[in-house]
Amino acid sequence: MPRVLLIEDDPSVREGVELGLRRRGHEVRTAATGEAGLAALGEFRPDLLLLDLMLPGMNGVQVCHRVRESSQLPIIMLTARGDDFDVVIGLEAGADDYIVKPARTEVIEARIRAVLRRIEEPGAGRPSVEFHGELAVDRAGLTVAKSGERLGLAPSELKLLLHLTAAPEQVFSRQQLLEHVWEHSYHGDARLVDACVRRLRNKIEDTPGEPRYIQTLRGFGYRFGPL
Amino acid sequence: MTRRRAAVAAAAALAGLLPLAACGIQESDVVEAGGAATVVVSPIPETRTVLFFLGPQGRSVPVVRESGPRIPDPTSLPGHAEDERVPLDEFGPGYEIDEKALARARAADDKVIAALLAGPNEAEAAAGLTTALPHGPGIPHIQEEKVTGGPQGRRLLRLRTPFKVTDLPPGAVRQLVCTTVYARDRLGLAEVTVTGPDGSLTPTTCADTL
Amino acid sequence: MKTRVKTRVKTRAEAGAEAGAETRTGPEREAGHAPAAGHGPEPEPAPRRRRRARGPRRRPFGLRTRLVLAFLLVAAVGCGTTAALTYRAARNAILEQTQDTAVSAFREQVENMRTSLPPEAETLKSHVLLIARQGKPRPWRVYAEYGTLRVSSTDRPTSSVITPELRARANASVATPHGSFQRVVKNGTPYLTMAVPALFHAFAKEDAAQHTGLVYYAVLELDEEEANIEAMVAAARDGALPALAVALIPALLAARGVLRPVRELRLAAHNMGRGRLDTRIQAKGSDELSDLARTFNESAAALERSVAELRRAEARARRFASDVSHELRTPLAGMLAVTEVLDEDADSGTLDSDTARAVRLISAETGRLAVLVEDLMEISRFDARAAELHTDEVDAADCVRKTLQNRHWTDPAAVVQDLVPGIRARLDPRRFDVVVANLVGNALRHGGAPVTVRVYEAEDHFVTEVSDRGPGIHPDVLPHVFDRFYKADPARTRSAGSGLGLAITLENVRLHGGTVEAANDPGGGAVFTVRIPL
Repeated sequence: MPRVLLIEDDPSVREGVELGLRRRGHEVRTAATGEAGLAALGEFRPDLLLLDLMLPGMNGVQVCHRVRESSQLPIIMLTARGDDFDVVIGLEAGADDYIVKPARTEVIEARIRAVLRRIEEPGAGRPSVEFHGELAVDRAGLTVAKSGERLGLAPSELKLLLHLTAAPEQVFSRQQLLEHVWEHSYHGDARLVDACVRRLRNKIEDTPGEPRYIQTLRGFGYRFGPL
Repeated sequence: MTRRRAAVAAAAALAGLLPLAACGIQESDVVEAGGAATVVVSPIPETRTVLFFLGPQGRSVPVVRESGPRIPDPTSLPGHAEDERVPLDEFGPGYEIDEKALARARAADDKVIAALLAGPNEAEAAAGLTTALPHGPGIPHIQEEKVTGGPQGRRLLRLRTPFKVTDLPPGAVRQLVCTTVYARDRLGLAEVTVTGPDGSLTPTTCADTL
Repeated sequence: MKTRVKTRVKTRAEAGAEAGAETRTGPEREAGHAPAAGHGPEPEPAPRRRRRARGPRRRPFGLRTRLVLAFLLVAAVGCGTTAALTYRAARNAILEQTQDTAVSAFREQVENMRTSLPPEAETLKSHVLLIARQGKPRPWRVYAEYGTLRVSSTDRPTSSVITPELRARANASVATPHGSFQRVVKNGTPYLTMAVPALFHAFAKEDAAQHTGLVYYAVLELDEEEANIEAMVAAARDGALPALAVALIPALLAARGVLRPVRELRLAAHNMGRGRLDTRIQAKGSDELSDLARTFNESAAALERSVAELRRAEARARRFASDVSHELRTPLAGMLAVTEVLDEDADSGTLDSDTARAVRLISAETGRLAVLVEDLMEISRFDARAAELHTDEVDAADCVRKTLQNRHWTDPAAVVQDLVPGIRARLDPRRFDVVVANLVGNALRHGGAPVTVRVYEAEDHFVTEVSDRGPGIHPDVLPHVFDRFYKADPARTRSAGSGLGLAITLENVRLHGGTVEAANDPGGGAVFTVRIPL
């Protein structure tokens, strides 16, 4: 069972979510502030970070940035619907997904599982490492290297890239990507996809403004290549 | 309401324009304009007799007949100096006659009245003139009356007629009065009393009988 | 009309735009709201620009027409009267001159005559012919009458133009006879008829002139004079028409002077009507129109104040609702996270049955409360115009199908899908999902199965139609179905939904620039139709 670190300032939410997740067998550590949460990271070594955006002192977005500086820990933001602006900033800062409060534990757990779920292994007869231009994608080792240099990709970025490279030059709509990569509903928030694509481009493209690998088809979605 | 008022206003304005509509030359009433024309009637006054007859509508119409030089009448022109010569406009300068000679040259007044009573001659009758005076025997006579009172120069003539005068129509009286006056008085201002066998009429001038 | 009203419509927003960074001055700044204050409730600022193109409409009997007509009428009356008076004076002058000339010339010529009494017809005839030739201003026809004697310069002895009145006047037995004339119109031709009685001095100049009984008549055709007069009429008319045309210019100017304030008032009223309550008119001068402008300004200011007050009150109420739901959300988040724990324990049989029921109740109601609070929050965002549209170009049929699929409304007996494929529409998928889910959920709850969902394209719109086979919506309820918390049946205090579902649906559709309508199908059942522009 995954180890979850929950950073949430409101005691009732903190306690409720902790209780619910623990009942489902998760190992949960909670922190009331961003600082306390960052401090607990090294010692607790969670598999996933549940991060409230609205925190006293250091806020969720800042915590997110700090975490991404050093690790590709899966991050799910807790947010209230309507805090749209914060959601965008959080996603830009590197969060993999977000959950709108209030949410049932089953919803939270489903998201946690989705983020942690690995992309299926490639079928037989397919090399574990694929080369796309300067990119080397290792499906088995779940690593991506550009010009031999390994890239640190957040889970959502990695999954998106793996999904797109699995079918190069095939167009995926945002809704399809939401369904397959994030396991959201078709009607989910397409900004997740856009933010993730932006982050990914920053890491893999030579000039993010003129993407080669992940191309946009206006009105339809994204595709990988053609190179 | 407003529309009706506007219509009334428009109608009033159009009515104001009506004088323009009455353009062209309009008929008019009879308008007096200046005096009448004075014409020269021949023969010259010295040799003519003026008689008054009646026109078609009973209006007084004078006729002028040639009568030749008149018989002097010493009773006429009282107060005039002897042998005073006066110009006669009808003949222009240089034609001057003696007033006395003129008076003397008059036809006998009674003959004039007799001519009047005789009625219009052929030419005059052809012009539609008639007389209202009765025909009959006897000779009328004009005589000068003594003037008592009145303005200076007033003359009073009496005409004695052989017929009755009180029932005469005004036109007939005018014939008598005017003919008498012009037979005797150059100025035509004298008053005439017509006296018949049945009495006298009021003294009157020719102008008064109009 | 002497004092021109200087009015100018200026809204603060425009004034602000004109003044740019300059210090705000001027009377329209006094009441001093921020320019944006008047804009508050309008979501789209672009179409609020004053539409100049509207221009003044021409009305057949509008103020402009009436003013111009009145002006022209006055001008026409003025021109007409002047022309008429001038014409009359000129006509009289022409006629008088002709008449005087003719009468005096005629008399003079008669005076040159020498006649006997009674006149001889031959002599008289030659006289008459002589006079006729010497007519002034032109030859005339001359007649002479004496007794029954009739002599003329023409073939006929007398003239039918000479009236009995003229004859009577000429023959009148008066002390001083006069010459006289009369204008006669016969068969459309005007004639001047003159009569001069001939007098004579019985003996000498001194005696009073006596009527000779001889009367001279002259008949002069006035056709030349008439032609002159007609020329004058033509001149007056030809002068008046251009004058009227010229009068049209000041008439239009004057009408514009009056109408411009009126038009500005209309524009200002129009702006007020469109919600720009800060519209004011610059009112200068002291005439009725500027009074009207001032009154308008005062009323507008009063209206603006009350509307602002109302808006503040409404905003307070909305903020309160928003704050309340915000405050409820945090505890709910905690509660909702543990409902599962409660459910599990209630189902485990370890609790005593009353406690288990209570626990289940709490769990269930927490869930509903969460939905209600979420919906309230959503409505608050719409009210605050904070709702954002994240559009994406999607396949409309796909979108609807996924909604039904996600909610497990896939039983063809319950929900019939009639979706035209391949309609690409710009939608916010999440919001459109809410729209379809609310409508279908509503139909399933209140209507009767099967619920039919149709998607098709119609004239720049794509239409989503949700119809059911239920009893339909009561006509009294129909206008209120999209109202918040509207209860069709007051006895039914709670429905399965939050009571905000259709209101949120309406807001979501509006956010897409579309419309939603509720109606009853003549064949039975309710039909909700959503039209969203493509």
